[in-house]
Amino acid sequence: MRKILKELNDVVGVKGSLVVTKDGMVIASHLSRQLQEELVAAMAANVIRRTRRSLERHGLRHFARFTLVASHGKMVFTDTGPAFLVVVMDRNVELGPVDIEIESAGMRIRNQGEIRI
Amino acid sequence: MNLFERLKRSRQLARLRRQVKRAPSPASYGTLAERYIAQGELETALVVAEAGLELFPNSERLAHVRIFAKKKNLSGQIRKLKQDLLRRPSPLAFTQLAQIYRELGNVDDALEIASECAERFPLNENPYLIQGEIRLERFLRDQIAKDAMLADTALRKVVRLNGHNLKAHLLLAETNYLVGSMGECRKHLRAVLQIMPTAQEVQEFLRAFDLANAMPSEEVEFEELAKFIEEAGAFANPPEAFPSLHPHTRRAREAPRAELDVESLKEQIVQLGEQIGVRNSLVLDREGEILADFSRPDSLSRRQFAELVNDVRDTADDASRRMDTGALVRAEIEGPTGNVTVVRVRNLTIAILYSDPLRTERVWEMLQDFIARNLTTSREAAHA
Repeated sequence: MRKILKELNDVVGVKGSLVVTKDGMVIASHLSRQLQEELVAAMAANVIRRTRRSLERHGLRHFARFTLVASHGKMVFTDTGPAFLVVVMDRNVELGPVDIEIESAGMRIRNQGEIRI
Repeated sequence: MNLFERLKRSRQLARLRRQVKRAPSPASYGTLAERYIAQGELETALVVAEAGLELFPNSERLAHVRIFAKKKNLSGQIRKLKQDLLRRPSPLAFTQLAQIYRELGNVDDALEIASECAERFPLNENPYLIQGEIRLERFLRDQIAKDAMLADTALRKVVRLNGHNLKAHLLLAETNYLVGSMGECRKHLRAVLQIMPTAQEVQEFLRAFDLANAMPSEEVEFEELAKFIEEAGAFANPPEAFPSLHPHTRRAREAPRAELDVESLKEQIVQLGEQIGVRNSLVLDREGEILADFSRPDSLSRRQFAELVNDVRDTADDASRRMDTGALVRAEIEGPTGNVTVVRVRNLTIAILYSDPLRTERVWEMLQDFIARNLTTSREAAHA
C-alpha cells in the first residue's frame, strides 16, 4: 500500500497521502516533512465522521468522495471500501489531472481487499 | 504566418477582449489569457490573468495561467538560486528564492524556505519579514487568528533584530490596527515616522487616528483580539483605511465592493435551481441564515438543506484550520444519493444539491458565473 501512496505522491503538487480507517487509525502513509501523520489522521477522521453523520441525518447515505479546496491548499477524501484515502495537495495543483491518479490509487487500494490491523 | 492568418488571430483576440469587457468572468479572462499564451505573449497573458484574479481571486484557471506565465520567466532564476544554496547557502539566496515562490503563489514553499533560512541564520531579519508578510496577507484574506498571531510573532522578531526596519514597523502597525490593538498600532506608526519623517500617508493617518482615539483605550491581549476577529468574521477597523503596503488593501481603497442586492439574488438562485439536475440551491449569510433559496418538492426542505450546508461548511472550515490551509473556498461531496457543492465568497455561503445529469465541473462553472453576476460591481467590471 505504501508503494501506491509513494507513486501518488510523485505527482506534482501532491504533498502527502494516507490511508485511514473511519475511526482515524492510520493503515499506511506517505507524507512530506511539512505534514504530521497524527494531525492529518485526526483531521481526516473528524471530516469523515462529521460528514457521514450530517449526510445520514438528511437521508443522503454515505459519500464516495469529498473534495475540499481552501485558500492555501486542497484535500481529497476518497472512500476505498474498508478505509479512506486522504490526499493533501498544494494550492496551485490542478485537480483534473490529479483526480485520475487519485481514482487509480483508490481503485488499487480497494482491490487489495480486506484490511487487517 | 501570412497576412490572412494574422488578421484572423487579431480578430479573435478583439472578440475575446470585448467578451471580457461585456461579461467579466473567470472563463472569459481565462480564455483571453490562454490565447495570449498560445501566441507567445506571456507578459500580456500575465496582465490579463492578474486583472481577472483581482475580481475572482479564487479562480483556479486564472491562477494556473498566471503561474504558467510567471514560471516561464522565473524558472531560470529558481534553478540558479537552488544551485547557489547547495554550493554556498546565504540569507540573500534563501530570501530571493522565497520571494520568487511567493510571487508564483506557492506560499507553502516560500514559508518553508523562509523557516529553513531562519534556522540556519537566526540573526538575519529577512526570513522573519517574509513570514510576517505572508501571514499578514493570509490574515487579510481569511481572517484566521493563527495567521495574525504568527504575523505578529515574526514581525516582532524583525524589529527586535533591527529596530530600524521600517517595513516591519508598518506591517506590525497594520496587524495591530486590524485586530483593534490601537496602542500598539500607534506605537509602531510613530516608529515609522521616526525612521522616515516624510512618510506623508502615515503622517495623515496618524493625525486622523490620534484625534479619533484621543482617550487611550484599555488594551486587551493580542491573541484574544485576533480570536475575536476570527469569530466575528470582520476586522476591528476597515483595512482599506490603513496606509498599507499590500496591493490587496490599496485596490480595496480604490474600488469598493459590490452592494448585495438580495432581491436579485433570490431571483438568480431560483434560476439556478431550475437547471436540470439541481434539487436545492441556497445562499446563506455569515450567521448561517437563509438569504435566498430554491427547493424542489421531492428534495430536502429548505431548513434541512441549510442545516446540511452549515454542517459541511463548519466541517470543511475546521479541517482547513487544523491543516493551516486558510479559509474554505469550495467543498464538493459526491455520493450515490446526490452531490453537494458548497462555495464561500466573502461572508456568504452558496450551495447546490444536485444529481445526474449534472456533473461537479459543470456545477462549479455555474456557481462561478453566479458569483460573477451577483457579487461583482459594474465598476469592478469596468475596471477590468
